[in-house]
Amino acid sequence: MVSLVSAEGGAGAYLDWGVVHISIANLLIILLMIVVFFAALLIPFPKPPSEPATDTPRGAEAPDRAGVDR
Amino acid sequence: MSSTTWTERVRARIEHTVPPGEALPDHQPAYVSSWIYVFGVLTLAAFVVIVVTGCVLSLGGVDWWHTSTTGHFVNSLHLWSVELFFFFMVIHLWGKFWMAAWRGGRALTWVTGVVAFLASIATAFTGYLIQTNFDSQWISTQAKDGLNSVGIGAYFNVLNAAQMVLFHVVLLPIAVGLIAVVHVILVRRNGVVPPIDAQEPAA
Repeated sequence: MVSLVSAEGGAGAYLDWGVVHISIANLLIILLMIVVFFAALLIPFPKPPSEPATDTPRGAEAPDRAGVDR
Repeated sequence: MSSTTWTERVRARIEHTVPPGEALPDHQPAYVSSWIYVFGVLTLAAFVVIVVTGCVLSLGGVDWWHTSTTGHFVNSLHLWSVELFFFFMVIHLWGKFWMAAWRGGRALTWVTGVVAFLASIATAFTGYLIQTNFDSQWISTQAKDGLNSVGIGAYFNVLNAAQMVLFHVVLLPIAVGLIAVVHVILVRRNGVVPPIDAQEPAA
Protein backbone atom coordinates (compact mmCIF):
# COMPACT_ATOMS: atom_id res chain seq x y z
CA MET A 1 0.00 0.00 0.00
CA VAL A 2 1.49 3.32 -1.06
CA SER A 3 1.10 6.22 1.34
CA LEU A 4 2.28 9.79 1.36
CA VAL A 5 3.50 11.18 4.68
CA SER A 6 4.76 14.61 5.68
CA ALA A 7 7.72 14.84 8.04
CA GLU A 8 7.46 16.98 11.14
CA GLY A 9 9.09 20.39 11.03
CA GLY A 10 8.55 20.85 7.30
CA ALA A 11 11.34 18.45 6.32
CA GLY A 12 9.48 17.42 3.18
CA ALA A 13 7.01 14.79 2.07
CA TYR A 14 7.88 11.12 1.86
CA LEU A 15 6.47 8.19 -0.04
CA ASP A 16 6.07 4.95 1.90
CA TRP A 17 5.71 1.70 -0.01
CA GLY A 18 6.62 -1.38 2.03
CA VAL A 19 10.33 -1.18 2.79
CA VAL A 20 10.70 1.74 0.38
CA HIS A 21 10.81 5.14 2.11
CA ILE A 22 11.80 7.95 -0.22
CA SER A 23 11.36 11.71 -0.24
CA ILE A 24 9.29 13.15 -3.05
CA ALA A 25 12.24 15.38 -4.01
CA ASN A 26 14.57 12.38 -4.44
CA LEU A 27 11.89 10.44 -6.32
CA LEU A 28 11.40 13.34 -8.74
CA ILE A 29 15.16 13.60 -9.34
CA ILE A 30 15.39 9.87 -10.11
CA LEU A 31 12.43 10.17 -12.51
CA LEU A 32 14.12 13.18 -14.15
CA MET A 33 17.32 11.15 -14.59
CA ILE A 34 15.36 8.38 -16.30
CA VAL A 35 13.72 10.96 -18.60
CA VAL A 36 17.12 12.52 -19.45
CA PHE A 37 18.60 9.06 -20.07
CA PHE A 38 15.94 8.15 -22.63
CA ALA A 39 16.03 11.65 -24.14
CA ALA A 40 19.79 11.23 -24.67
CA LEU A 41 19.12 7.98 -26.53
CA LEU A 42 16.25 9.29 -28.65
CA ILE A 43 17.05 12.94 -29.47
CA PRO A 44 19.28 13.17 -32.57
CA PHE A 45 22.72 14.64 -32.01
CA PRO A 46 23.28 17.77 -34.16
CA LYS A 47 25.53 17.20 -37.13
CA PRO A 48 28.38 19.63 -37.86
CA PRO A 49 27.44 22.15 -40.60
CA SER A 50 30.12 20.92 -43.01
CA GLU A 51 28.93 17.32 -42.89
CA PRO A 52 26.16 16.40 -45.36
CA ALA A 53 23.21 14.62 -43.81
CA THR A 54 23.02 10.94 -44.75
CA ASP A 55 20.61 8.13 -44.04
CA THR A 56 23.42 5.73 -43.23
CA PRO A 57 22.59 3.64 -40.17
CA ARG A 58 24.66 4.29 -37.06
CA GLY A 59 27.86 2.27 -36.98
CA ALA A 60 27.65 1.28 -40.64
CA GLU A 61 30.33 3.72 -41.77
CA ALA A 62 33.75 2.72 -42.99
CA PRO A 63 35.85 1.39 -40.15
CA ASP A 64 38.22 4.31 -39.80
CA ARG A 65 38.54 7.29 -37.51
CA ALA A 66 37.02 9.69 -40.05
CA GLY A 67 33.78 10.16 -38.22
CA VAL A 68 32.35 13.35 -36.82
CA ASP A 69 34.20 16.43 -35.71
CA ARG A 70 34.29 16.97 -31.98
CA MET B 1 68.13 1.70 -29.23
CA SER B 2 66.95 1.00 -25.72
CA SER B 3 66.40 3.85 -23.26
CA THR B 4 69.27 4.27 -20.86
CA THR B 5 68.17 7.09 -18.56
CA TRP B 6 65.10 7.23 -16.36
CA THR B 7 63.88 10.38 -18.13
CA GLU B 8 64.01 8.59 -21.48
CA ARG B 9 62.15 5.62 -20.02
CA VAL B 10 59.47 7.86 -18.46
CA ARG B 11 59.11 9.81 -21.72
CA ALA B 12 58.78 6.59 -23.71
CA ARG B 13 56.22 5.30 -21.22
CA ILE B 14 54.15 8.48 -21.49
CA GLU B 15 54.36 8.45 -25.30
CA HIS B 16 53.22 4.83 -25.46
CA THR B 17 50.42 5.12 -22.89
CA VAL B 18 47.99 6.58 -25.41
CA PRO B 19 48.30 6.03 -29.18
CA PRO B 20 49.56 9.10 -31.09
CA GLY B 21 46.75 11.58 -31.79
CA GLU B 22 44.28 9.87 -29.44
CA ALA B 23 45.01 11.88 -26.27
CA LEU B 24 42.97 14.88 -27.42
CA PRO B 25 41.37 13.72 -30.68
CA ASP B 26 39.47 16.02 -33.04
CA HIS B 27 37.65 13.13 -34.71
CA GLN B 28 35.57 10.32 -33.27
CA PRO B 29 33.84 7.30 -34.82
CA ALA B 30 30.42 8.15 -36.27
CA TYR B 31 28.54 6.24 -33.57
CA VAL B 32 29.83 8.74 -30.98
CA SER B 33 27.41 11.24 -32.53
CA SER B 34 24.84 10.59 -29.79
CA TRP B 35 23.89 12.50 -26.66
CA ILE B 36 24.48 9.42 -24.52
CA TYR B 37 28.23 9.84 -25.12
CA VAL B 38 28.39 13.34 -23.58
CA PHE B 39 27.65 12.38 -19.97
CA GLY B 40 31.20 11.31 -19.15
CA VAL B 41 32.65 14.69 -20.07
CA LEU B 42 29.72 16.45 -18.34
CA THR B 43 30.70 14.55 -15.18
CA LEU B 44 34.29 15.75 -15.59
CA ALA B 45 33.11 19.34 -16.12
CA ALA B 46 31.03 19.18 -12.93
CA PHE B 47 34.06 17.74 -11.11
CA VAL B 48 36.17 20.74 -12.17
CA VAL B 49 33.51 23.13 -10.78
CA ILE B 50 33.41 21.11 -7.54
CA VAL B 51 37.19 21.34 -7.11
CA VAL B 52 37.34 25.06 -7.89
CA THR B 53 34.42 25.99 -5.58
CA GLY B 54 35.83 23.68 -2.91
CA CYS B 55 39.16 25.52 -3.07
CA VAL B 56 37.34 28.86 -2.69
CA LEU B 57 35.37 27.50 0.29
CA SER B 58 38.57 26.31 1.94
CA LEU B 59 40.07 29.79 1.54
CA GLY B 60 37.05 31.43 3.20
CA GLY B 61 36.48 28.90 5.96
CA VAL B 62 33.41 27.86 7.94
CA ASP B 63 32.52 31.34 9.22
CA TRP B 64 32.58 32.69 5.70
CA TRP B 65 30.32 30.11 4.07
CA HIS B 66 27.81 30.28 6.95
CA THR B 67 27.54 34.04 7.37
CA SER B 68 28.59 35.78 4.15
CA THR B 69 26.20 36.03 1.20
CA THR B 70 29.12 35.39 -1.16
CA GLY B 71 30.08 32.42 0.99
CA HIS B 72 26.51 31.11 0.78
CA PHE B 73 26.61 31.51 -2.97
CA VAL B 74 29.89 29.60 -3.37
CA ASN B 75 28.61 26.97 -0.94
CA SER B 76 25.52 26.57 -3.12
CA LEU B 77 27.66 26.35 -6.26
CA HIS B 78 29.63 23.57 -4.55
CA LEU B 79 26.46 21.71 -3.54
CA TRP B 80 24.72 21.99 -6.90
CA SER B 81 27.81 21.05 -8.88
CA VAL B 82 27.94 17.90 -6.73
CA GLU B 83 24.25 17.24 -7.50
CA LEU B 84 24.98 17.61 -11.22
CA PHE B 85 28.14 15.50 -10.89
CA PHE B 86 26.16 12.54 -9.56
CA PHE B 87 23.25 13.21 -11.94
CA PHE B 88 25.57 13.03 -14.96
CA MET B 89 27.68 10.21 -13.53
CA VAL B 90 24.70 7.93 -12.93
CA ILE B 91 23.33 8.52 -16.44
CA HIS B 92 26.87 7.84 -17.77
CA LEU B 93 26.83 4.62 -15.70
CA TRP B 94 23.43 3.55 -17.08
CA GLY B 95 24.54 4.26 -20.65
CA LYS B 96 27.76 2.28 -20.26
CA PHE B 97 26.05 -0.58 -18.42
CA TRP B 98 23.42 -1.12 -21.14
CA MET B 99 26.16 -0.75 -23.76
CA ALA B 100 28.22 -3.46 -21.97
CA ALA B 101 31.13 -1.00 -21.99
CA TRP B 102 33.58 -3.57 -20.62
CA ARG B 103 33.71 -5.22 -24.07
CA GLY B 104 36.83 -5.13 -26.25
CA GLY B 105 39.45 -5.19 -23.51
CA ARG B 106 37.83 -2.35 -21.57
CA ALA B 107 37.36 -4.23 -18.27
CA LEU B 108 39.84 -2.00 -16.44
CA THR B 109 38.07 1.10 -17.77
CA TRP B 110 34.80 -0.21 -16.31
CA VAL B 111 36.44 -1.13 -12.99
CA THR B 112 38.13 2.27 -12.59
CA GLY B 113 34.72 3.87 -13.27
CA VAL B 114 33.16 1.77 -10.52
CA VAL B 115 35.96 2.68 -8.09
CA ALA B 116 35.61 6.37 -9.02
CA PHE B 117 31.87 6.14 -8.32
CA LEU B 118 32.43 4.57 -4.88
CA ALA B 119 35.19 7.06 -3.99
CA SER B 120 32.88 9.90 -5.07
CA ILE B 121 30.15 8.64 -2.74
CA ALA B 122 32.64 8.60 0.15
CA THR B 123 33.78 12.12 -0.75
CA ALA B 124 30.22 13.43 -0.89
CA PHE B 125 29.43 11.71 2.42
CA THR B 126 32.36 13.39 4.19
CA GLY B 127 31.14 16.67 2.67
CA TYR B 128 27.82 16.20 4.46
CA LEU B 129 29.78 15.60 7.69
CA ILE B 130 31.66 18.92 7.55
CA GLN B 131 28.75 21.26 6.88
CA THR B 132 29.09 22.30 10.56
CA ASN B 133 25.36 22.45 11.16
CA PHE B 134 22.69 20.27 12.80
CA ASP B 135 22.33 18.29 9.59
CA SER B 136 25.97 17.19 9.74
CA GLN B 137 25.60 16.28 13.45
CA TRP B 138 22.60 14.08 12.68
CA ILE B 139 24.24 12.40 9.67
CA SER B 140 27.52 11.75 11.52
CA THR B 141 25.84 10.14 14.55
CA GLN B 142 23.69 7.94 12.32
CA ALA B 143 26.68 7.04 10.13
CA LYS B 144 28.79 6.23 13.20
CA ASP B 145 26.31 3.53 14.25
CA GLY B 146 26.06 2.21 10.71
CA LEU B 147 29.82 2.04 10.16
CA ASN B 148 30.39 0.43 13.58
CA SER B 149 27.74 -2.19 12.82
CA VAL B 150 29.66 -3.33 9.73
CA GLY B 151 32.98 -3.39 11.59
CA ILE B 152 34.91 -0.55 9.97
CA GLY B 153 34.30 2.12 12.61
CA ALA B 154 37.67 1.47 14.26
CA TYR B 155 39.63 2.80 11.29
CA PHE B 156 38.18 6.32 11.25
CA ASN B 157 35.77 8.38 13.33
CA VAL B 158 33.01 10.18 11.48
CA LEU B 159 32.32 12.22 14.62
CA ASN B 160 35.84 13.66 14.43
CA ALA B 161 35.21 16.80 12.36
CA ALA B 162 38.92 17.57 11.86
CA GLN B 163 39.60 14.08 10.50
CA MET B 164 36.57 14.30 8.20
CA VAL B 165 37.64 17.74 6.92
CA LEU B 166 41.00 16.32 5.86
CA PHE B 167 39.34 13.27 4.33
CA HIS B 168 37.03 15.57 2.37
CA VAL B 169 39.45 18.23 1.17
CA VAL B 170 42.65 16.20 0.72
CA LEU B 171 42.54 12.40 0.80
CA LEU B 172 39.33 11.56 -1.06
CA PRO B 173 39.42 14.32 -3.73
CA ILE B 174 42.98 13.27 -4.62
CA ALA B 175 41.80 9.66 -4.85
CA VAL B 176 38.83 10.58 -7.06
CA GLY B 177 41.01 12.83 -9.23
CA LEU B 178 43.71 10.18 -9.74
CA ILE B 179 41.18 7.44 -10.51
CA ALA B 180 39.42 9.78 -12.95
CA VAL B 181 42.74 10.50 -14.71
CA VAL B 182 43.44 6.75 -15.06
CA HIS B 183 39.84 6.23 -16.26
CA VAL B 184 40.18 8.92 -18.95
CA ILE B 185 43.61 7.63 -20.04
CA LEU B 186 42.11 4.15 -20.45
CA VAL B 187 39.21 5.58 -22.47
CA ARG B 188 41.64 7.42 -24.74
CA ARG B 189 43.90 4.36 -24.96
CA ASN B 190 41.13 1.91 -25.94
CA GLY B 191 38.70 4.34 -27.60
CA VAL B 192 35.07 4.83 -26.60
CA VAL B 193 33.03 1.67 -26.63
CA PRO B 194 30.90 1.20 -29.76
CA PRO B 195 27.20 0.34 -29.63
CA ILE B 196 26.65 -3.41 -29.53
CA ASP B 197 25.65 -3.64 -33.19
CA ALA B 198 28.32 -1.25 -34.49
CA GLN B 199 31.65 -2.05 -36.07
CA GLU B 200 34.61 -0.73 -34.11
CA PRO B 201 37.11 1.40 -36.08
CA ALA B 202 40.53 -0.06 -36.73
CA ALA B 203 43.10 1.25 -34.26
